[in-house]
Amino acid sequence: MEHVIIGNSAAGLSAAATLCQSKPNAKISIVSDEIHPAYLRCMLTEIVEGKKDLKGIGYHVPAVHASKNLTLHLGVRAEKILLDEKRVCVSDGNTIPYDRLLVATGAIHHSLGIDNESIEGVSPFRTYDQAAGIARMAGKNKHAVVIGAGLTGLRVAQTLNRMGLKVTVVDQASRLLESQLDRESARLIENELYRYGIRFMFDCAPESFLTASYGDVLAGVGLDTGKELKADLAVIGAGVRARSGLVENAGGDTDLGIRVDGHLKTSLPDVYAAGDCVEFRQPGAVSRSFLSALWPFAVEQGRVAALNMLGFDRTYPVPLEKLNATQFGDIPIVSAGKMEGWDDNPVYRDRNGTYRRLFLKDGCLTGYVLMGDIDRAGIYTEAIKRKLPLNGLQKKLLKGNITICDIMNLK
Amino acid sequence: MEIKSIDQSTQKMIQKAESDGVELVWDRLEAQQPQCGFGQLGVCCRNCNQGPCRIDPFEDGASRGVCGATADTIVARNLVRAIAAGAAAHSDHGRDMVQTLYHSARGDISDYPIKNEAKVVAVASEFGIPTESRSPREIALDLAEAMMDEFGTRKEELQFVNRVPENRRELWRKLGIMPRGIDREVVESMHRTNMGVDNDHVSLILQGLRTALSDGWGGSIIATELSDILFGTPGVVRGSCNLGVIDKDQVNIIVHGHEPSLSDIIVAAAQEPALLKEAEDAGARGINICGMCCTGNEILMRHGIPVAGNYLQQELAIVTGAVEAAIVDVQCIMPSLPEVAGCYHTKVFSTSPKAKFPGAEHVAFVEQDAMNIARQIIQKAIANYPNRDHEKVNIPDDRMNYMAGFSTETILGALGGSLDPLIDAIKTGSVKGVAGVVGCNNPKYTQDQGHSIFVRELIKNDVLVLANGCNAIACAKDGLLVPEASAEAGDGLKAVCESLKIPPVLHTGACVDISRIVTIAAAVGNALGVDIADLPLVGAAPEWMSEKAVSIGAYVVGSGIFTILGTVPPVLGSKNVTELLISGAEEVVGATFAVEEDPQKAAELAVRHIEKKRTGLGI
Amino acid sequence: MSKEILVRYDRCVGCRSCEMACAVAHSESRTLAGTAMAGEKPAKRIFVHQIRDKKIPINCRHCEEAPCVDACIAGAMRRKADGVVTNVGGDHECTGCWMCVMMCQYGIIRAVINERKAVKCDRECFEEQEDIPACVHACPTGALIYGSVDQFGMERQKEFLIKAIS
Repeated sequence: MEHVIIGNSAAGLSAAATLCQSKPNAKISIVSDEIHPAYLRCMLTEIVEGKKDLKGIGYHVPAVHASKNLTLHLGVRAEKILLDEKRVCVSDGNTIPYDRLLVATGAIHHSLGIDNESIEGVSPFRTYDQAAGIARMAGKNKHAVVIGAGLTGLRVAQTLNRMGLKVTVVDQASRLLESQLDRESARLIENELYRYGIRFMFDCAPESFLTASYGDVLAGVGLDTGKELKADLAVIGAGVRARSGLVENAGGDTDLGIRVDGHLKTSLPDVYAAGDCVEFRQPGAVSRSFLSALWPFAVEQGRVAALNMLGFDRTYPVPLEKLNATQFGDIPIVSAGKMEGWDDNPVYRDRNGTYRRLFLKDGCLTGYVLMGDIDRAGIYTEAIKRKLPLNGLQKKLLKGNITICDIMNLK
Repeated sequence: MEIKSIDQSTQKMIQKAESDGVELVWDRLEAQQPQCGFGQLGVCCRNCNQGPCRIDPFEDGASRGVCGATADTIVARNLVRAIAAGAAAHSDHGRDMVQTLYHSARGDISDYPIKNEAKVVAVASEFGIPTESRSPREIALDLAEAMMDEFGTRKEELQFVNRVPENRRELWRKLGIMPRGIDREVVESMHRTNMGVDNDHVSLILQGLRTALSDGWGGSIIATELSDILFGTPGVVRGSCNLGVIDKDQVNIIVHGHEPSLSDIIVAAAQEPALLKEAEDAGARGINICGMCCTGNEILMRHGIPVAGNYLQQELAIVTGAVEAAIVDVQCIMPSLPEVAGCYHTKVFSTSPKAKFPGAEHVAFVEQDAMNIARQIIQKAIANYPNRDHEKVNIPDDRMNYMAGFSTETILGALGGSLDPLIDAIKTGSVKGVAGVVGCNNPKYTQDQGHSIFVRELIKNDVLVLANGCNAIACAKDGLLVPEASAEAGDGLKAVCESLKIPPVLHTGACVDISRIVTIAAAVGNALGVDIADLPLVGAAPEWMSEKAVSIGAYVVGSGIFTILGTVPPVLGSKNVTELLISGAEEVVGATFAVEEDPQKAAELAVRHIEKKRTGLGI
Repeated sequence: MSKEILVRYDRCVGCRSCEMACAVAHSESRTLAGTAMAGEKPAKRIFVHQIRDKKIPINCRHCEEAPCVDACIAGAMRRKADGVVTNVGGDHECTGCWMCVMMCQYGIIRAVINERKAVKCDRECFEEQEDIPACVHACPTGALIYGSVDQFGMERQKEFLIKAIS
């Protein structure tokens, strides 16, 4: 049986590893349009900062390395799925036959819609090449504008700030991490990053990239408020869209991303999808679609998709829409679920900088933000997943002394 | 720990116990592993029933008890309670001696005549009791009553404190640690450490020091002085010790514990022809009384009675299979003795109304009937002789000779009636300084190794050692309590010992007699017109385990003497308390504790300290 | 068959000796007194919880499909051949992204913030010439044991846990 995986990152390699482990003789082909060997995408800030090279952020999956039946096609784009022939056309002119196909094409940055987005000095931040480019352009005391105050934008901003650049973050929203944090915790992070020297401009969007008098090189960023920011470097850290074209063009069901069933199968025969290119929808009439876009989920999905490709019956429950952990300045953060106020959103603060906010609906935990002391965060995550009324556990969740036993005891 | 003991006889008896299927202290230690880390660091509190509470030493959990007590408060409270318990033990022993003297003086009891009349007069004078043309009994009655008052609450300062150099007394007054009533300090310590009273670790530790001083300059000194009055002040005696003193052909009786009242009478009774005849009739060649621990020290000091061993050998004496009776009173008696005795024919007799032992036969000791009770117990032992199973007898042949009996008076006598020769020797440097080495055995450490290495290293460096309690027995077994041991001393000390014909290590008595050491220290300070803290002295407890040792350590430090502990006290859970004890106390009382488990390094610490004090005195 | 730390819940008396031994075994000095004297604050990786009247030690289950391994964006967390899930001693170092902390439903991965390092049961706690983990060694009642289990056994462990707390 021929397995073809398009994508050489978290979902694709996790699937490959599962295939190799479960069926050591399975024939596997991996197709990736990136020329580089697999790397840990979340570690790209290390490339920007020059702390590590490509090898240093290499994504090693021992089971895949050990496999003799795996062919890697790097720097080759998958262009078309020939459903009838069960083949994938790739950019070097070949076609690769498959019995089962996994689309793990991930996501790509969204264009800002500004004409000269590709001039020297402007770069998205998604791939190794882009990170290496930013590293080249970044220099001490230069001015940098980071577009987007989401997780990616802030991580880049923090990195550039550490490197000695004067960093301004701009965002259309009225605060940072709008979909990850509540207003109060967002303010705490903003203060923390401000303390490190990062400046913020909210409620504004870049409208133009100003160039230097001597040529097509970035000199500033023009905002829709009329204000112009001096800039030697502009990093686009916002706007991601799923790479679902391959499935869409083959007639598959897509919207925000590739639509899959509970077994991560697309609407196309023998075609599965996993990772950032997939869209999910919580059960219920009013829910909207979302992209999962989280490394751990991509790994999970790759594994589950592979098991299904092998004929095991493994269902994949809809993952949490939001789930993130990171650290800004000296403040670690974990947040998950919906940041909307439902019945109540109780909060706990202490003098050591611990901050916990819960989001509840019908007595069930639907979201949380932990800052400062983030130990046991996984128990909160589990509490959301269980969707059971907290029955008085709210105090423990706020105080941080919740245990898995408490959650297991919920009925 | 590589070996359980450096003592060959201990090692042999451990092996025997193993083949006899007897569980010993080391087996129980093993069964207790791992021991609780919270307890080891002193950060658990059971003082009220909101708890038990524990403080996380790594700041990875609770930082306060239910009541809000911090690690500092809890560690300090626990330490003060340990001091109070230790002080109570010594002082209650002292009270028993006062009672005996009181009844003896009143003529209620006949078996305890006043043996040392001169001392009655001397001590009574200290108390301001008229002595001119009064009978010793009259004086003794007044003295007993005055001493009873020492336990009360009406006084502001204890009487024996007047032995201390004035500048130190002034310091105690200034710090508010001048000991008042002996009972009062213990009671106040218990009050202060009760839930929600004293929560400041410095304030607590100061009260701990005051309580300890009420032991060292109160209860213990009373016990020592009255034992001398009732049983005679020790003079130089010779004898032998270690398990080898148990005689396979005699009725062997071990007297174990701390108070001399009964044991002293037993020694006398065992010499009565009628009882010796009874023993012969039972097939024994005689009656062999052997001491154990500090009861052993008491009768060794006064009668040269052989000592079978120190703390960790109490079970082993029974394991020889040749002990007819083990008679116990109070303190340091393992509750396991009846269990061990059950494996042999040995009978354990508890005697104190304060200390009963499940599995032991209780023969209530009352002073009014002391001799009869002593006879009665000896008869029971003799009657038990035929029950001895000779198959099970195996007495190690280890025994060592000693010279003991170095009370303050004996030392003065050896010096020709005055402290001057000792002071001169210290001045010239032939004796660099004096160390009071005390304390127990502890199964967590190789038995006697700490004592042996530490003491040997000190005498090698010309430091005269005054040995008490289980340390003295360890030194005796190790051959250090004989004049010939001065061969191991440095040249200066060796010359002094040779000229005075004394050992380089002087046995000054039971652990309660550490009062003798501080009395001598105070006398030297007075003679030189300096504070005790200025003298080239150290205290040490290389293998301590008892709460009594905590009290002793605290009164020795409180008296101004640097003290080295060889086993780690349960205080490390509080950085503040630990720092106060090992450095901050220097500013307060002019002395600190040190903790050093390696006896070699501990000796280096001691020698360095003595050198420092010598430099300070300009000698 | 890999060896696991198994819990006999009925034997736990809540002394928390395991917690302390675990912390000490992960300290620089590796002795309790040394750790206390040096002022070290090592993090424990086993936790004794009180659930109503029961004392429940919770430690890492070293899950087969470990969410913490899936979550590790730095490539540090992995499941070794002997079944031990650890972020110590692999190709990559932990960078303190806290994803594993967020994913572990047992809540046994700690964020050591000043070292920017996630810590968990890593079996780096064996004393020389000892073949049992520090927590098991420290358990005075035999509530923790170190033994081989098959998959069935692991499932039973979870059942025991559920039974123990319910």
